[in-house]
Amino acid sequence: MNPFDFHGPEFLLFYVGLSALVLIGVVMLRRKYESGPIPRIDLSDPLLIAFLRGGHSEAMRVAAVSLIDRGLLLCAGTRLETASLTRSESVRRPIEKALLEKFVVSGEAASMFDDSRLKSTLNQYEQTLKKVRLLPDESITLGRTVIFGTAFLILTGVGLSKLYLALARGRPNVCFLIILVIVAIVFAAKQSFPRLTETGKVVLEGVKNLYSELRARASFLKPGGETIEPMMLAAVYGVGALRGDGFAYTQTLFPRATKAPMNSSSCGSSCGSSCGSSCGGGCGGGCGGCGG
Amino acid sequence: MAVLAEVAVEEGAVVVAADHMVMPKDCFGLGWRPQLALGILSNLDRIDLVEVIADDFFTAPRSDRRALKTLAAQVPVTLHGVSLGLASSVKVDRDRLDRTARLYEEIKPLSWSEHLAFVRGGGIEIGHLAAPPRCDETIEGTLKNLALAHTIVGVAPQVENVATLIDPPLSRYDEASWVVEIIRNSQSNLLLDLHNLHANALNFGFDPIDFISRMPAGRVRGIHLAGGRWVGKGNVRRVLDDHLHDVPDPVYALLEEIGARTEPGLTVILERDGHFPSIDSLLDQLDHARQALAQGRARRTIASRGEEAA
Amino acid sequence: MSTSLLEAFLARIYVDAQAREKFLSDPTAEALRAGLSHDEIEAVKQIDQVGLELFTVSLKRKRQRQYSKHR
Repeated sequence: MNPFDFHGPEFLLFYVGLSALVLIGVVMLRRKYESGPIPRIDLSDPLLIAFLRGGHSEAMRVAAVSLIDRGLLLCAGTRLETASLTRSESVRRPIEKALLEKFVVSGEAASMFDDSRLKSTLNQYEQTLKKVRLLPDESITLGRTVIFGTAFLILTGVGLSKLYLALARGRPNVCFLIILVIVAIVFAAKQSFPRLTETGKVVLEGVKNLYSELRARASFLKPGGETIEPMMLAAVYGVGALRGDGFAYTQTLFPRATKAPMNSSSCGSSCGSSCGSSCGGGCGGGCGGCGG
Repeated sequence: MAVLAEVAVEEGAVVVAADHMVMPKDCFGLGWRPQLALGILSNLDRIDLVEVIADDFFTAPRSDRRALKTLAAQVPVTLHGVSLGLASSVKVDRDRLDRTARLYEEIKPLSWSEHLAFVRGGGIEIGHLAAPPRCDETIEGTLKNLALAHTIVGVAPQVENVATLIDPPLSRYDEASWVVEIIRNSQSNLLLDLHNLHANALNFGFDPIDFISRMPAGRVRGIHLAGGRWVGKGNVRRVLDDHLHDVPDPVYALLEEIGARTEPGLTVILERDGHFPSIDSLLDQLDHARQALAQGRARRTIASRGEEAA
Repeated sequence: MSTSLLEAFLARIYVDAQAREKFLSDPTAEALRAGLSHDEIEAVKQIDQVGLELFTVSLKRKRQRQYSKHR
C-alpha cells in the first residue's frame, strides 16, 4: 500500500503518525547522544544554578534580588538605583559590580536584560556549563543539527512529495498538509534544540530535588542578606518562589518571572520512601537515633 | 576509581575484602539531611563525604534517585540502611536486599552499612532499631543474614552497634563479646557508633574503653558520632541516643582512643537528625573530631616509636 | 534453634500497649501463650522493666512522628 496514494484525510493521518515517529526518533537519538556521567559543579553557586535554569536573564534577576536584599541596590516599583554609599568594589561577583555600576543612575530594571556588558559578565557561567556539557557545546550542537537535518529531510521530503502529487492530480486543497508539515518541522526543531542537554536536564532536576526543603521553608526565609538561602531559592526555583512581605517587591520588579508557574515536576520530596518503616527518624531525617 | 582492598585482620584471622573502597586517609563527613543541603554543598572543602539513608530511596520516584546521583557526583557518598534487620535469627527479607543491591549498583557508593539490630518480628514492624537478644541464635542468624547480604549486594556491609534503652532479655553474651563474634566470623567490618557505645556504657555499667580494646582494631573501618540526652523514670535515668544534640566530650575522648588503636583510613560521620544548629557549628564539631582522632594517632605513633627504641 | 518467637514477642510488647500491659501483669502466661521456650520465658520474666518503659515511650514518639510525616 503506497501512502502517497492515500486520499487527503487518510494521508494527513499517516503524516501525523510519521511525524510522531520522527519526533520520537529525534528525542531518543538526542538523549542517547547527550547523556553522560553527571559532572561535578559548584551546586552552592546561586548564579551558576540560575544560569543553568534560565540563562542570562535568570542569573541577572537573582543577582539583582541578592543586591536588593543586601541593601546595595534600591528598588522603587520597576526601577533600580544603587544605594548612595555603595561602591562596586564592595561586591566580588562581576555581574554584581556591573549591576551596581549600571544603576548608579536610576533606571528601569528591564533594561538590564538587553545590556550586553551585563551579559558578558555572565559568560563565564555559560562557558563552565558548556565545558561540562550541561549546556550544548559545539559537538553537541553539531550532533543536534544532524539529527534535526535528518528529521527535516524526512518530514519535508514526504510532505512535499505528497504536495506535488496532489497538485499534479488536480487536488488543490493542500493547506492542511502545508500546515501539518510546518507544525511537524517546528516540533522537530523544538525537540532537537532544547536549551539544556539531557545531562543538564538531569542535573537541574536533581538540584531542584536536593534543595526542595529550602522551598518548603520559603515562607520562613528572612530578607536582609544574612544568609544566601533566599538567593539560592530564587536561583533554583525562580524569584517567584520568594515569599513573604520582605520579597513582595519582586512581583512588581519582575512581573513575568514571578507570575510564571514553578516547575512542579521538580518538587521532589528529597525523601521518597518511608524511611522510617523501621527507623523512626523519617525521610532524609536519618534514623533518629539508633536503638534508643 | 574503586579499588577492592584486602584488610588484614589482627591476630591472624581471616583476610577479608570487605569494603568497596578503603580510603587511604581518615575521612570526615556528615549525614545528608535535606535541611542541611545548602550548608553541606557550600562547604565541600571541609566535608569529605556524606552518608545517605538508603531506605529513603528504595521506592523513591526517579527524580529522587537522579538527585542522589547528582549529589554523588559532587561528593563521595556512603549508603546507610535502617530497615534490613540483619541481627535476627529470622532470615532477612530478600526484596529489601534486592532494593539495596539495585541502589548500590546505581549510586556506586564508597561503602554501605546497616545495623546490628532487629526491626520486625511476627509480622510487626517495630518502627525503630531494637537490640536483639545477645545469644548464639542471633549470632548465627546475623552471620547468615550478612552472608546473604554480601552475596546479593556484592559487597559486605559495615555493621553498626546500636544504642539501647533496654537490656535485651536472653542475653548470654555481653555486648562486646557478641559484636566480636559476629565481626570475626563474617566479612563485615565494624561501623563503631561511639555515642551508642557511650550511651550503652552509661546505661548498663561497662567500660567503653574496654569495649574498644576488645574490638579487632583492623576491622573498625567506620565511626559514627552523635549526641543524645538523659531520659528517666523514677530514680533510673538512661541516655537516649536521639541525634538531636551536639557530640559530647566523652565521645571525642573515645574517638581519640580509636585513633590510638587503628590504622588510618577510617570514615567518620557526624549524625544529626534535627534541632539543627548552624552549619558552622556542625563543621566545628567535625573539626573537633579531626583533632581528637589526630591526637589519638599521635599517641599511637609515639608509643610505637617508644617500642621500637626499646 | 531460633529466637524468632522471642523476637516476635518482643516486637509485639514494644509496639502494642495492651499486649505490654497484659505481659507485665502476667509475664509467664503471656510468654507461654506466645510459645516461648523455657529459657525464653525465664528471661522475659526478668525483663528490664524500666528500660522497656523508656524504650516504648521513645518508640511511640518516633512512630507518631513517622505517622504524621506520611499522612
